[in-house]
Amino acid sequence: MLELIDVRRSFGSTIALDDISFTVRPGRLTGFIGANGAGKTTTMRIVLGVLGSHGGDVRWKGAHVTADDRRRFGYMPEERGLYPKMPVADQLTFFARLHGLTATAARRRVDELLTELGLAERGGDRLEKLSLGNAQRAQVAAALVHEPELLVLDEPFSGLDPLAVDTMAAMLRRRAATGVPVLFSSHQLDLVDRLCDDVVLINAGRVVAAGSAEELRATHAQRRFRIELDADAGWLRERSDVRVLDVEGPRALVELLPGTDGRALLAAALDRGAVVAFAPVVPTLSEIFREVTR
Amino acid sequence: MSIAPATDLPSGGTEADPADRSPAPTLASLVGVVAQRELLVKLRDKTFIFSTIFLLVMVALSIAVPALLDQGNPTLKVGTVGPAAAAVAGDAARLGNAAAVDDSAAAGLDAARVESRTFPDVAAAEAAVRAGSIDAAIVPASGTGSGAGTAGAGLELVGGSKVPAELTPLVTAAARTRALTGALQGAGLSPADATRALATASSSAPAERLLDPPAHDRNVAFGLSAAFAFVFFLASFLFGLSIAQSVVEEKQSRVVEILVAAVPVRALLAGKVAANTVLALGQTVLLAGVGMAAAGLAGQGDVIGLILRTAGWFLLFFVLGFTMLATLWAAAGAIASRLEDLNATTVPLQMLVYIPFFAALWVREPGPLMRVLSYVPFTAPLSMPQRLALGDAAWWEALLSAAIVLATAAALVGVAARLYERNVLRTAGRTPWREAWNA
Repeated sequence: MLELIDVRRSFGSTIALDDISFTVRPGRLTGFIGANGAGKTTTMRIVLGVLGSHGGDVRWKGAHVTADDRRRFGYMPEERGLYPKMPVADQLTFFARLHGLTATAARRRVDELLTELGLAERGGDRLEKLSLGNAQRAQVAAALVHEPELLVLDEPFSGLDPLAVDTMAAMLRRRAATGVPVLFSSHQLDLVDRLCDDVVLINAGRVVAAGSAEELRATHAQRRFRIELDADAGWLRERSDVRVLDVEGPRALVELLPGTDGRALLAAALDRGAVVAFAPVVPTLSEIFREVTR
Repeated sequence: MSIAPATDLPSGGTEADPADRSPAPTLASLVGVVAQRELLVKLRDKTFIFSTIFLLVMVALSIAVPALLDQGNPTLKVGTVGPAAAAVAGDAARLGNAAAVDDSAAAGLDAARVESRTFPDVAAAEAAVRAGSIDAAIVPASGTGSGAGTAGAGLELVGGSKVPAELTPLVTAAARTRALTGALQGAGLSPADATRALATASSSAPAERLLDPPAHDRNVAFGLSAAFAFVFFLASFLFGLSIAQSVVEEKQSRVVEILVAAVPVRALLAGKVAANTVLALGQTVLLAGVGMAAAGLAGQGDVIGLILRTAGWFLLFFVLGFTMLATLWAAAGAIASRLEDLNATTVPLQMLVYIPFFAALWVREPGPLMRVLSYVPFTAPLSMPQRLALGDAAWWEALLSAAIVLATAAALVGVAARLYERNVLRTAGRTPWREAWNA
């Protein structure tokens, strides 16, 4: 398990990370969501030791993370790049050895991985000769070549076509299924919604929500209701116990304000006529994200 | 594939077979992996291979060609008219051959091959000189009859616009010896006694003795120092630039973030420097080897001896001097973002390479200035071997100077590592050195 505890980092006078705390659990896909500049890449770089922190702690398996631990992490940076003029298999072997594999183990691993990723025929080609899709796969291979114990991927889905997105998603699922904690960031909230077990929402250097995606949805679902009446629902705006998110004729989307439950609202609606629908809305992650970052 | 509940899984999940991993790779082994990649990439680089071959050919040619042009003893074609002239020409040919074999036997005469042919009369000989088919002619002096008078006397050496410089002393010596032999025999000595008397006379010439003999031929030492300086200049420039390029290419291709996530920045820095030092040294040794082979083939054995005597020091200073600057080249690469930035970020390095090179070329005579230069860290790698080649420095001076360079190298490694660590992930534009230091 990877734990971040009150991690801080500033650049000059700008505070980039303000007491970031969350955990990445084994066997689970953790989505890391936030706007550009929220601090996702900075956080990931600190986890990998590429960047130093100015406070707090990164813990791996319950202890302060060491360089040797980090050598067993797999990392795919947001800024993609390998050696353009080096044959694919050669550079993957090089990365494997940098991560501490012996020469023979590295070569065997590269062969397996290239086969798994459908690049077996391309091992001897220089990276710059590969198609964009194959280059992406080689990039993934570079993060996986040493059988990492933790996977950290910065925007792994950006720039992928829908088919490649599915392949990547399946690949991440497979790794998580073997018990590897996987942390990845993404802008594509619908994708995270579909894929993630756990979610960390970050805004302006602060964690605004973190936990299992289901719990998060459930928490926020209790507060939001879709209401359909047999007449105009404009009167909902007058009430002090709800915030109206949307009204269109007889249909409305409302959010209960803290300290209230839906009973008074439902009673008021029934007073005015028939109630066609009165249902809690399970929000999407993007809705939750918009809400908590508002 | 079933997804087990997270709680049932060991916290680390499945791992690679433990035998696949070296338990904890040491810094040295990581440096080795980095260096190995640098070496392989460079050794497969066609530009590098061709430039190395080109350099080797240039060195071989520059040593062999002038030596070969210079080496052949001149062949002088001489025409003779009359038996006296023919006899003198024959003696001159013997003297020329003797000089080619052994300097002392011919008392300072130049080695030359003298070929003679006879002409029926002076006019024919002069015509041949004019036509250029012979270099000069030995003919009876005008006014004396052919073969008349004492042997050797009354001869003329006839040239076109000039008589070849090597020929005059040979012919003069031959004629004089002949005249002396005749005179001695005329005075009653037997031919054998006359020859013996002449031999005694020529061996009585005073032998040279120098009070302050130069340790080596100074010209060879100067030439060798210049060659050392040039090789060092070329190697530190080309391989230094190659280090900087290798660093900035990793930044430009963004691969550097994967690298620094896996290994300490110092391992990357050290691996690059080690690989390029090995390559630079290898190329230099190769150049020196080819140079010595060429010198050997061209018959310049004294150069080889001097190279072998000073090469150890040169190589020591080469490695120290190269390493001293190599880490700074890496830093210059780290503060650039693109290859084009290198022109600007390497300016201080270029100065540190150019200035010592020109200092070594300008300050050629031993003296206070050269002594100072041989202790200044940046000029020492050139000026100290120079002094050693000139026989101007004692071994302890060389060691002291080497220690100074080593200390400077160690300090600069610290400087460069800081610049490298703080800037290798900056990918936006070129960073001024000052800002790079404080980053």
